[in-house]
Amino acid sequence: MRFLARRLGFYLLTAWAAITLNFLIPRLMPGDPVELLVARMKGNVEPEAIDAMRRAFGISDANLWQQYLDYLGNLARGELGRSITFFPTEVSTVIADSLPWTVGLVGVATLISYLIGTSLGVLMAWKRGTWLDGVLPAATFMHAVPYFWVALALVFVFGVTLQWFPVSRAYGLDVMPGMTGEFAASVLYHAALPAITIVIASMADRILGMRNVMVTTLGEDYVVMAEAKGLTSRRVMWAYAARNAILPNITSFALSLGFVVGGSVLTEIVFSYPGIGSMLLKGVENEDFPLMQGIFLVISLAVLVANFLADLAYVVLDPRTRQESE
Amino acid sequence: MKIKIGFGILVFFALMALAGPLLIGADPAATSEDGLQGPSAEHWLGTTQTGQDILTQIVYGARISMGVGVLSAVIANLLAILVGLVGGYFGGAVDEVLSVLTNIFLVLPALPLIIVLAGYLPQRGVGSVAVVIAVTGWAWGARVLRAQTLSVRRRDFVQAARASGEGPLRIIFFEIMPVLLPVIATSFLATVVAAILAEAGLSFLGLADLSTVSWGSMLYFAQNGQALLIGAWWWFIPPGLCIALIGTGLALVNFGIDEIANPRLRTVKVRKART
Amino acid sequence: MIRPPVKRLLAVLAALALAGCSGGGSGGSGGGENAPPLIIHAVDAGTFQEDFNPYHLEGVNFGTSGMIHETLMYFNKLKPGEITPWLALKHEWSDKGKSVTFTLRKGVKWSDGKPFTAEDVAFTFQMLKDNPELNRNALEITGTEALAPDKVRIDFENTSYAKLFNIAGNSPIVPKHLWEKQKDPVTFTNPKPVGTGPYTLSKFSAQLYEMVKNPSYWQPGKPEVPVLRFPAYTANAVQTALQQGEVDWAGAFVPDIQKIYVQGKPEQNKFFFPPEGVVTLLPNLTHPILSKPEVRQAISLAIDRDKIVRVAERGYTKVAHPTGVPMPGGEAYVPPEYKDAAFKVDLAKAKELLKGVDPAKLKFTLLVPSPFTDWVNAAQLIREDLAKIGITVDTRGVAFQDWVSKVGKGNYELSIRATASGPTPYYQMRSMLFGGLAEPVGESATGNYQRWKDAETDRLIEEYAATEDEAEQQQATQGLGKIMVEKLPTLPLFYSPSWAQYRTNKYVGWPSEQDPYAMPSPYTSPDAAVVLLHLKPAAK
Repeated sequence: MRFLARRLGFYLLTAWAAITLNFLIPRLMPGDPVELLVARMKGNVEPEAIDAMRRAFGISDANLWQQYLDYLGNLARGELGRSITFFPTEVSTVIADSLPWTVGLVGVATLISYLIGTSLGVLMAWKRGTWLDGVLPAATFMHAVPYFWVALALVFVFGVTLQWFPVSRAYGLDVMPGMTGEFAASVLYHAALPAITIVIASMADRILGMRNVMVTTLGEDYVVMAEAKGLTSRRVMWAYAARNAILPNITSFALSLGFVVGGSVLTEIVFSYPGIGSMLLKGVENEDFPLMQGIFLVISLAVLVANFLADLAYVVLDPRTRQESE
Repeated sequence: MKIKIGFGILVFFALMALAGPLLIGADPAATSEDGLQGPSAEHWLGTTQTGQDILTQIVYGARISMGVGVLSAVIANLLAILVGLVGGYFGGAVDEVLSVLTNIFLVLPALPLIIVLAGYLPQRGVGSVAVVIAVTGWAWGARVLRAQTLSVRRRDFVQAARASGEGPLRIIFFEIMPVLLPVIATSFLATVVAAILAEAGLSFLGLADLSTVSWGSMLYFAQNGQALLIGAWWWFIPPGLCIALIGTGLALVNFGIDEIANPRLRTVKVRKART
Repeated sequence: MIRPPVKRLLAVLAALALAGCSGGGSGGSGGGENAPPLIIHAVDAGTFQEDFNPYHLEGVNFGTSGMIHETLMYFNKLKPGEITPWLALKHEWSDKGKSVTFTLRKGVKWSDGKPFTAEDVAFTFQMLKDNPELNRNALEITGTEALAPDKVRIDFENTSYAKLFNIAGNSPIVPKHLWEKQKDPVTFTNPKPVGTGPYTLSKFSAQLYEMVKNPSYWQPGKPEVPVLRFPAYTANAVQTALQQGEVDWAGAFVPDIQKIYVQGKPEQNKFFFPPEGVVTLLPNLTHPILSKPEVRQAISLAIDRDKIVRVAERGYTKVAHPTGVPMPGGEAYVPPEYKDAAFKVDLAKAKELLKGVDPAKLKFTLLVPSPFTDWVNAAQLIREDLAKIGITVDTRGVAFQDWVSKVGKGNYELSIRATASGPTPYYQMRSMLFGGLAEPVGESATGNYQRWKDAETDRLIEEYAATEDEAEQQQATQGLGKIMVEKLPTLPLFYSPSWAQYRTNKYVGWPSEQDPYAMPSPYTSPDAAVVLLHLKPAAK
C-alpha cells in the first residue's frame, strides 16, 4: 500500500510539472494568434481591429505569473477557456466532440494491433525455425515505415484505384449522425482504412518487442524447468513464459499512448478524420493557446493514468516490484 | 546472417550519403523544365513537378535524414545513459528527481514540444532538428536503462567493486555500463529509426525546414503535389522506401546484437570472470 | 441519336413548368426539389463547429454571410467599381463623409416571416459599435438611427468614403428581434440562424451541414439550386474527392489540375482562377543594401517571372502587372503611360546596376513559409535567377507562425507575401505602401512589411480616402501605381489566384473569364451567394 501511495504522489508531481509545461510551451512559441489569424484571413479583416480581437479572445497582457495563477484557478474550476480558432466554442466542447472519434478509432485499432502483435510475437518466439520466421523480415520492414506513407499508399491502392473503401471523413455524405444503423455502418466503413493503417504501422513494434522479451524469457531457468517437468508446451508458453514476458509490454503499451496520439495526428490528417490529433495540429498551427493547453492536458493526464494503471498491473502480476521499490 | 544483411543495407546507405553527392555533384534543389518525367536513362528515378532529379534528391537527402537520425540518437542516448544510470545506481532522492524528469518527458506530447523548440532555434538545419528530436526522445531509453541498472547494481561484481573502494562514477561508467552495452546499442539503433521517422513526420506536416532536401521534405512535396493521384509513383515511393530500408537494416543489426550478445549470456560470462 | 434533343426539350418544358410553379407561389416546394443538391467545398476543415454568427472569424461556418445573412450592397471585386444594390437600394454621404444614409429595399422578409426594416440595420451597426470584438472592419461608428422603415443613417468619427465596402459590402445584417435577446453577441453562436438570404440552415453535424432554399426569398424564382451540402474535407482529402467527382464546387489548390480534376473533360470539369491580390517579393527596406533602389531594380530585372508562373505556380496564374494592380479589371486604376508595361528579364542591365555595390554584400536570406510549397519552389527559382547576377540567396523555409512573426516584425531580408486586392486596387496599395502601417523593426506591423516610407505615397492614399468621386479615386491609385513601377517599394511577382473548380453537369451559369460577375471561389463571401443565384439546372 505504501508503494502505491508513493507512486500516487509521484504521479501528482509529474502531473503538476506537465500542467506547468503545458502552460509555458504555447506561450514560448514565436508569433501571436491574432497576427496569424489576420495573415490567414487575407484582407478580410482590418488591421485596426486587431486589438479588439485580442480582447475578445481573452489574450491578456498580464505578466506570465498572473496568467499562470489564472490558468491554475480556471483548471481547478474545470474551465479550459474558449478556443481561438473556433471562437467562441469552448475548448472543452472541441475536445468532447473530437475525443470520441480518436478513442474510437485509435483506441480500438491500437488494441487490435496490440492483441495480434503480442500473440504473434509470443508464437514467433516459441516456434522459432518454422515458417513464422518469415513474418520477422516483414515486421521489421513495417516497423520502420513512416505512418503516413502507409496511409497514403493504402488510400491510393484501396481507395483511389480499387475504390473498395472511402478515403476520407468519418461518415458518408448521405447520413446524419444519430443512433441509426445506417450511421453506424457508415462510420465503420469509413474507419476501415485509417484503422488498418494504424494496425499495420503499430503492430510490428508489438511483434518485435514481444518476441524479443519472450526469447529472453524462454531462456530463464523456470521455463526450462517447467519444460523439463513435462508440462504441455501450450501451458509453458502462455502461463509461464508469456505471463512474465508481457509485463514490460504492458508498461510500453501504457507509455505508447502518448505516441499513439502523436501518430494519430498524421493518420487523422491524411484521412480528414475529426479526431483530437487533427485538432491538436490545428491548435499548433494557429497558436491557439487554450486549445493546445486543453489537448496537452488531456493527453498528458491520459498517459499518466495509463501509467498508474500499468504500475498497478505490475504490482499484481509481479510481487518482486514491491520489494525493489521499497 | 541477419546482421550481415543489416550491415549490408547500412553500409550501402552510408556510402550513398558520404560519397554519393561527390559522384553526382548536381544541386539537389535545381529545377528544370522536364517536370514529372518517369524514370529514364537521363533521370534514373524520374523528376518532380518542378523538374528536380529524384535520384539526386535521394542521394543528398540521405545525408540529412541519416545525419538527423544518427546525431539525435547520439544526443538522446547520452542523455538517457546519464539520467538512467545515475538514477538507477544512486537510488533515493537523486533517482526520484531524475525519474520525475524522465516521466514528465514521457507524458508530454512530443510533437508540439518539437515544434516549439524548432521555432526557437535560430537555424533550422540538420543540427537543430536533431537536437529537438533528441530532447523529446531520450526519456524512453533512460527509463529502460534505469530499470536495467537497478538489477545490475545488485550483482556481485558491482558489490565487489564497491567494497574495494571504487568511486561511484567509476563503477557506473566502467563496471555497469559495459554490461549494459547491448541494451544501449539496441536503444541507440531504435532511436536512430525513431529520429528518422520523426524528421519525416515533421517534414510531412510542413513543420521542418523544407528548403533543405531530406527524405521527409521529399515526401512532403510529393504529397503536396499529389504524386500518387497523378500517377507519379516514382516521386512518392523512393523516399519512403529508403526510410523503411534503413529502418530494416538497423533492426536487423539490432537482432543480430541481441542474438550474439544476449544480456543474460553476457552477465553470466562477466560473473564468471569476476569471481 | 435522337435522345439528346428530346431530353433537352423535356428539360425546357420542365423548366417552364418549374417557373410556372414558383410563379404561382405553391409554398416554395415547387419542382425545384427534383434538382440535385450541390456539394460544396469552401475551406479546408476537419470538422465544423455549430457557429453561424457572421461576425466571428474562423469559427463561423462558410455560407453564413451571403447565403443566410445578406449585406446592403454587393461589390464585384473582379470589376472594381461595379456595385449592385442588395438590401439597400442606394446610399448617400453627408457631413463630408462622416455620415451615410441607406434607402432600403421594401418587401424583404426574414426567414421566420418577420419584415426586414431599418431597425435591423441600425441594430447591426450599433452592435458593432458596442462590441469592438465583432468590429472586424474597424468601423469608427459613433451612432445609428432608423429614420424611417426604409431609411437608416450611420455616423462615423472620421471621413469614411473609402470604407463603403466595409460598411455596405462586408457587414451582414442580422435580425434585431432575435439578436437583441442575446446577452453577449460576442460569444453568441447563432445556432438557428434567421436571415434574409436565399438559403436557410436545415441540418448540422460536425462533418456535414446542409442548407435549403428559402421559399420566401425576395428575388422571385430564386435560387434554383434547392439544396446545398457542405462536407468537411482537409486540404489533402479534397483532392481525392475532386478526383472521384464527389464535389461539385470547390475552392482548392490542385497540384495537377488536368490529371486530378479535369480528367479529359474540359467542357464539364471547369475551373477559373482570377486574381484576388498580388504576390510580391518583399525587400526589407531597413537593410542597408536592399534600401538602394538600384539593387531592387537589378533584382527585379533578373527574376524570370514567366518561369516562376510556369514551374512554381503551374501556370495557374499570370505574371503581375508592374503596378501590382490585378488585370484584367483594374485598367482604370493603372497610370496610362504604364498600361502596357510588362516585366522583362535583362541580366546585362541588372549587372550594370550592381556595379557600384560591393559584391561581398550581395548576400541575402529569403524567408518563406514552408507550408506554401509553391512559394518554396518560387524561392528556389529566384535563388537560381539571382545567382546569375552575382547575388547569393539562401532560401529558408520556416513554420507559418515563425514566418508571420518574423515578417511582421521586420526580422528578415527578403521574403514573399501576398496582399489581397479588396474591392478596388486602392485597398491593396494602402496595405502594401501606407507609411502609417510601417512599424519600427521589432514591432509587429499589419501591412507595409517592407517598411516603405514616402510622403508622396501617403499623400495619395489620404487623397483617395478623402473623396467619394470615382475619377479622383482612380487618379490617386494611378499615382500609387506609378510609384510601384518607378521606385519598386516591393517587387510584384504574380497574382495570387482565387481558386474555383466547378462542374457543369448539374448546374450551369458559373462566372467565367468572359462573364466575371462575381468571385468564383466558394470561400469568398458574399460572392458565393451571388454565384448560386445565377445558377440554373443543366439541360440534360
